[in-house]
Amino acid sequence: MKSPATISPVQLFFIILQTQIGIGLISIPYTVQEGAGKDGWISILLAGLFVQGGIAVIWLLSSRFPGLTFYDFAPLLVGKIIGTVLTMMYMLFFFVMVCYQLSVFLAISSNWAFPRTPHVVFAVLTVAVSVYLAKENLRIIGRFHILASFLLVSIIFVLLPLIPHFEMRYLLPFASNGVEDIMKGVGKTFNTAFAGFELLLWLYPFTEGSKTAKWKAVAGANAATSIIYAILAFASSAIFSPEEIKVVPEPVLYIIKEAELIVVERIDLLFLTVWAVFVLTTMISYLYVASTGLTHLLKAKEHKKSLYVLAVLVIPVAIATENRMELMRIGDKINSVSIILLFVIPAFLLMVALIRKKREESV
Amino acid sequence: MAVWRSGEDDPLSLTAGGNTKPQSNDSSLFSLSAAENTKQLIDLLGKSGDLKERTFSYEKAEGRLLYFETIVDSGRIEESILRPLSETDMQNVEEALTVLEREEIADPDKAIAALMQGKVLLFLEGRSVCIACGVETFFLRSIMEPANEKVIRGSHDGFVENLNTNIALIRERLKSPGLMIEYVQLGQKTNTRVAIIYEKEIANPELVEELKRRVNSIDMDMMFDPGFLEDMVEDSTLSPFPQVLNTERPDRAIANIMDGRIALFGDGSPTCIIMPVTFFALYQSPDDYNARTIPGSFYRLLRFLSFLIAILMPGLYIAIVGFHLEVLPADLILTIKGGVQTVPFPPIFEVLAMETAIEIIREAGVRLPTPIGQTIGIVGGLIIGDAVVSAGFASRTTVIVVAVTAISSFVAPSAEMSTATRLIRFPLMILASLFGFYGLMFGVVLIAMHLCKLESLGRPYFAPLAPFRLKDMLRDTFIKQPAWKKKTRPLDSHPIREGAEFGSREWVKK
Repeated sequence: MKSPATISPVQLFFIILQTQIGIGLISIPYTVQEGAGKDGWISILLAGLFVQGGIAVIWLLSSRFPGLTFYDFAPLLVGKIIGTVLTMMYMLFFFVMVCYQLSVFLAISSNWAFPRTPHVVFAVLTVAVSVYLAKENLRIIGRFHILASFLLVSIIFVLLPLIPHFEMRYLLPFASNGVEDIMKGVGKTFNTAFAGFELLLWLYPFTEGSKTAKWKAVAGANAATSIIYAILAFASSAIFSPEEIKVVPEPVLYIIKEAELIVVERIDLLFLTVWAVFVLTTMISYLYVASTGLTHLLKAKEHKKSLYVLAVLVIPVAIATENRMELMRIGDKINSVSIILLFVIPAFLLMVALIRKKREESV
Repeated sequence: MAVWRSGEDDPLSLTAGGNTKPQSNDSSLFSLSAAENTKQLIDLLGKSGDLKERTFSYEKAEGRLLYFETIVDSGRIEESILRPLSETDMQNVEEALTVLEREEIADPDKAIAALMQGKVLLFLEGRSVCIACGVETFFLRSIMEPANEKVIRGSHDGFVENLNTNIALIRERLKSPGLMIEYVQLGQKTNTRVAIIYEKEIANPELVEELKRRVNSIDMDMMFDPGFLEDMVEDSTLSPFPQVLNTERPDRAIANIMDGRIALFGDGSPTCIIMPVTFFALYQSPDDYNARTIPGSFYRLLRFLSFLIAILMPGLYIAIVGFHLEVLPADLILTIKGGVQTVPFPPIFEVLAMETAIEIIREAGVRLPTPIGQTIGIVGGLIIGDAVVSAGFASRTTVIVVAVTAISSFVAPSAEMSTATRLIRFPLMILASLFGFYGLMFGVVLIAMHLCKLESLGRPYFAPLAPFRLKDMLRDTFIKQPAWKKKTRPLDSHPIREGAEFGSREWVKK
């Protein structure tokens, strides 16, 4: 089953990182404050820890089938029919994630910088650019994701000039909103912020290196993501009072708008452009796994054709609604589903594997 | 100019397996009569004005010579063929020949091929073979520094149009027994000699095999070197980026050969094609290696900066003026907007027109003699630039942007790369004019993806940035480390011998 295009653990690290960091980058502080208020950054760190558990489960599951992707080993564990159903579910989930990322991206872009450009124009452009990379093999995707990760440095540059604006009073006392609220914040993060680590189920067989190297790569990527998000949430809560932040759905862009470098007045517009690259990388990863899923279902050889089909389908779905409120509601629904797909099903499959003592060798 | 030559370099003994030559229908073997043999060959060749036949009949030797008078050295025919034959008293007359290179040929097709190479065919009465004697004449241009690859410090010689001289220049500096030279004859009609040169103890044999496979697959009438050769062996010919390095400098060729890369030479062209290369290798100049570490690194970084300016600046300007004027501080807005407001065209037309004008000026100046070229530069650059602004057709800022971009694009040490950067900025400008920053971003992302996909001889083109290799990046890509720090070769050519430096700076103790 092994494809010749393998990736290194470093590439795995950045693929996971870039998949996790997508639309959530500029809205995560708002999402978590809905539950946890000013303690959003604690929620994010906790959620990151929780995801580490999910990663451990997925890693244990995948390392029992070192040469197989999820699409290959699910039928071995739970039978052909349920396996196919699971494959379809995940494929659909990835497809929905692409659409969701794209529609939120379009909504924010038109709100923020391009009010007069029709959504369909950017939708077509974004999908076309994503397809251009997603049709290649994993190794090339990995190369690009590493290249795109250099842009993460820009976060530091835009946050540094903001430090004098920090108002620590807004944050104190820490964790005073109570465990319940903080956990509510945790529950809201999965689809926009942390989803992406499940790709390990598909990337595991294509990654070189030892079992632990793979685990380290994914766990490290998730840790990096959590820290970046937590810093952003911390900065947002330190600049906006708890009352203010409730009315700014993209707090990161707003706080960056405050900053100015000598020759650039509106850094937020530049950062919006940088963020667009992160959305692209997320879409590329999801499009890739979704198309390999379709390829698997159709028993085709190359993922290119199924990729084209999916890409064409993404556009009408993504531009179907332009309403932010509705998108947020849809996002909440996807979030609930994603908890099942990211945590429950892998844990269930791991239990099945343990009970039935299934490993790749024994098949 | 002494011409270096050895038996190994005989083009006939190493003709490509896959290279089919047109077979003549009448390829019967030679007969015993010299007159019949020459007649047979003349019939096969047709009557060409410069094909000469000379009969000789000395005491011991009797026979005929056949040669193209235009490509043989008549003095050497007299000296080393005719005179020994006339003076010999040996029984076996061919032993008397003092010519250095000779070979017996029994096949008329091969004999014709040798004739085309500038050999003299010697037919002796009573023998059914001919003797091909190497007395070619060479018309050499003197060895000069290539005009488009000048350096401040370092060697000032350059390749010439003669393959043997070029190989001599390489051998002179790289006296390693591992230096391999393999010949292939390409072009069914032109019969151009092409040499594949590599250091067999360093170059990866898989890459050598791959390049040989590509070169041997070439089957065409004319080999117009080096453009055709490059088109035939390059990985992706439609990419804007050159995936081979063209150089006319022996020192650059040798440095690359020593990094495990493979050089490809065609007879009749001073340009050497080097594969596999990376994007960054095209930004290395021989000057860097003669410069000290810190200035060398500074100029290297400056070149990458000018690459970014060359592709991004016009697009950025259009995006800011057209879409996002608010990113500028208030004072700058007044200056820029004030200039643009009086111009009757949208910024994209303004910039596009000026960029096109610069390209036209460049293209007009390139092939003209220097004094006229300079005039064009002055008239085009200074007068038109000034007049356009005073007439109000373009804003001052536009002229500044266009000029800085143009100058930046010429910084690349490789002419092909400089062309590539100048071409890329046009689509970026159009995207920026349509979609502002996003358009520019989509364009840059597409270019980055393309660079990630691109390969040169199957090796990643954008290494060491994608795939990311920090060690290579800091050694000789963005900064230039001192020579004693270059312990290993760059990995992009996959060399089989990695070590390159072995503690030269650990000076022997006093």
